[in-house]
Amino acid sequence: MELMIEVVTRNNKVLALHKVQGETIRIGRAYDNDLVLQEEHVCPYHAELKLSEDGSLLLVDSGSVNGIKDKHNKQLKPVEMVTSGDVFVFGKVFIRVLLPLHSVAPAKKINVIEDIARAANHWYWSLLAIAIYFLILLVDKYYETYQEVIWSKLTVTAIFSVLALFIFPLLVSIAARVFKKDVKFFTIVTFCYLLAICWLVLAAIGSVLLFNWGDNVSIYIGAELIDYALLMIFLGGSFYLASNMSLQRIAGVSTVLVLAIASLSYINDKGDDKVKLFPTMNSKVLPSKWLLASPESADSILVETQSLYEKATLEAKRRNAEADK
Amino acid sequence: MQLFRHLVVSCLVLFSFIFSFQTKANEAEALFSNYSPALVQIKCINIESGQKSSIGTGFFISESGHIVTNYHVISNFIQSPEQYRLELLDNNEQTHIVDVVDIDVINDLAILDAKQPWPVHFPLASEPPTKGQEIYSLGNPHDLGMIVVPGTYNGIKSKSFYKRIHFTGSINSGMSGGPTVDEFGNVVGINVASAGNQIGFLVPVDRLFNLREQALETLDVKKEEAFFVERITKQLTENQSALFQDLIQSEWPLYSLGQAKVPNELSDFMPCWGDSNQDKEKELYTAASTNCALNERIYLSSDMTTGHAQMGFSWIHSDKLNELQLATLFTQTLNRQYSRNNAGQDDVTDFYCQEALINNTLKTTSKGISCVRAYRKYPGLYDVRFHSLLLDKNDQTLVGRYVLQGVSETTAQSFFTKFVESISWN
Repeated sequence: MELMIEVVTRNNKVLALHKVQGETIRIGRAYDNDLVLQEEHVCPYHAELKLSEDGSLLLVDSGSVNGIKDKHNKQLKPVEMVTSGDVFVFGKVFIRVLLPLHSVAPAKKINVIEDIARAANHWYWSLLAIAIYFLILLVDKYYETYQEVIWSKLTVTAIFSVLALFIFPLLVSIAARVFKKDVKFFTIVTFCYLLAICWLVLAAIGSVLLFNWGDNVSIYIGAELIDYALLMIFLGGSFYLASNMSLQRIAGVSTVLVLAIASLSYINDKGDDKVKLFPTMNSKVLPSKWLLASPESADSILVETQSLYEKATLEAKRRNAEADK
Repeated sequence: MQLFRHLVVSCLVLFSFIFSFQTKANEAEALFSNYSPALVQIKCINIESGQKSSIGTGFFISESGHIVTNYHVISNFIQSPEQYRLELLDNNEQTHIVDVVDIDVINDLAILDAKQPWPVHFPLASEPPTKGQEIYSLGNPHDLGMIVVPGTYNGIKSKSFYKRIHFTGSINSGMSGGPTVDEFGNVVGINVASAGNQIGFLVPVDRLFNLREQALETLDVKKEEAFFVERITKQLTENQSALFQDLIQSEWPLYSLGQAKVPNELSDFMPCWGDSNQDKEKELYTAASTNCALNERIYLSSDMTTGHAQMGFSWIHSDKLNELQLATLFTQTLNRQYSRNNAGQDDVTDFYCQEALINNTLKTTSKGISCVRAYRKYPGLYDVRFHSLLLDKNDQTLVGRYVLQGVSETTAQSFFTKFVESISWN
């Protein structure tokens, strides 16, 4: 008789595979067993696998201290019939017994994402992404300064920002180690910095839109949606690079997380309904050559601002009604 | 002989000085003893704690028991009548509960009712004193007891929209609402404010005539909170209309700030001040600013004043900074908080803002942000803020801002149009 015995995790991840032969296959902690399980709750001679008279495979307990359990933690009888693929628990070790002709799943084709992830796993891509991010930051800081430019200070600030972002690839890499995934460190670094670059570029485009149509609600909604889309890509990518979840499950988990974050953010922004005594102005000014929208006359602005008075009056009524309760 | 003559003249001068001083002292003493029964302390008592929350002075103006004081002395009672009661303490240390008959928040006056006849009262002067005339302010400063402060009448305060007498004499906290009288005891003004050393302000007595007439019309009406809210709303609405009507209809004087043309002092009572960053080293840009503000505000409660208006401009220019760096500076200047907030959390709503690109008839293009919040208690009145920034030039800009407090939508919209249409490049 020839059997495959896999030592597996609770989640069926294979840790070791043993091919064993013999009329009787003995399992235990003693070194003269056919399958040696080095775990303190396993007896030196814990159980035997043997064929019955009718040819079926049996698992026989050799009078062990802790007995044998199935994968649902149910204690088994001293003699149990075995079907190929059954999982048994010896002490704290999970093993799966397979006959040589046990069917296996067809091979999966390596998907495009995996191809890209492998291709990107080179130090020079990471370095390039970091360098581009650093340069964009430096240029951004330079244009944000209207005092005397001190390049050493700008550079140090940009370096600190680059280093601060490095925490994300580090966390994703650690997560990959924890979930026993092949760590593609440089892919993770490149992925994180590319996302940060995308965010900066989109923020620049957002500035132009704000400058032109700053009062338009759809710009704020669009900006929020883009932020959440980037967050979704970050979470999806991180799960892919750090875990063994399927693409469908990654999409599902990422969506749930983004929705949860959006809901929490909404609740937080809603606040305590306290009046803000100064208006928050987030207007954006750019050089006039970036002006794409058409200005309006003072008279038409007057008509538009009437709604502000209506809204304020309605709020006053609402607050008064609440206070009277 | 000449020496003897000098000695005699000197003695005469000294004697006349001592005599006049003595006479004035006697006049003050006589005034005080004659009218002290008509002079009382007004206390606003917090019912929960049983302690006074504000004190001031009041004086009787009729035998039927009507008392005059400042609105700000009794504002707690008007704003929250369920939490406060008003008491007067007479010169015999007797306490009486008083009611409010009517108020005038614009002139900071209130008429109270002692609900009993009062034998002594102050007569009201029918003519204003002459400039330089000796007048006497009466009151109870810092709860120390009633005193007389002699001083001089210096006419009506200049550069002020609200008519106030300039009194050269010390008016201290607690004297608010007390009368200032001439040598015959006729009330010429009501103590209202102080501006430091020997500069005091009085509400002219003619303002009291108006309030007295108005009060007579509603003498039989039972006064509840809603009555006073309606009164205040009406007074504020009429006042803002009068204040801004002239301002908006008049031709605004213009002057050059850098390369821009901006409105200068709109009126005597809205003086302007200027500043620049030229004294600062290492600045890569030039910034010059002006700021014009109304000197007075209308007191409504300890948390809220209104009637303030402020307008300012900043011209920024640089040939050392590039366009994008200047755009960052412009953005920060445009969004910077301007002027003060004069309202409490429970008095107003949130601000509602709208941004727009504006073309005025003088062919300038600007970015403007209008913000509005409503008064919760006084319907139809709003605080309005407007920030704007000229976009036509990349090496310079003009940021214009204004704040109007307690204005109607019509006033705010007219001011907006006038403001936007007054700004241009040289």
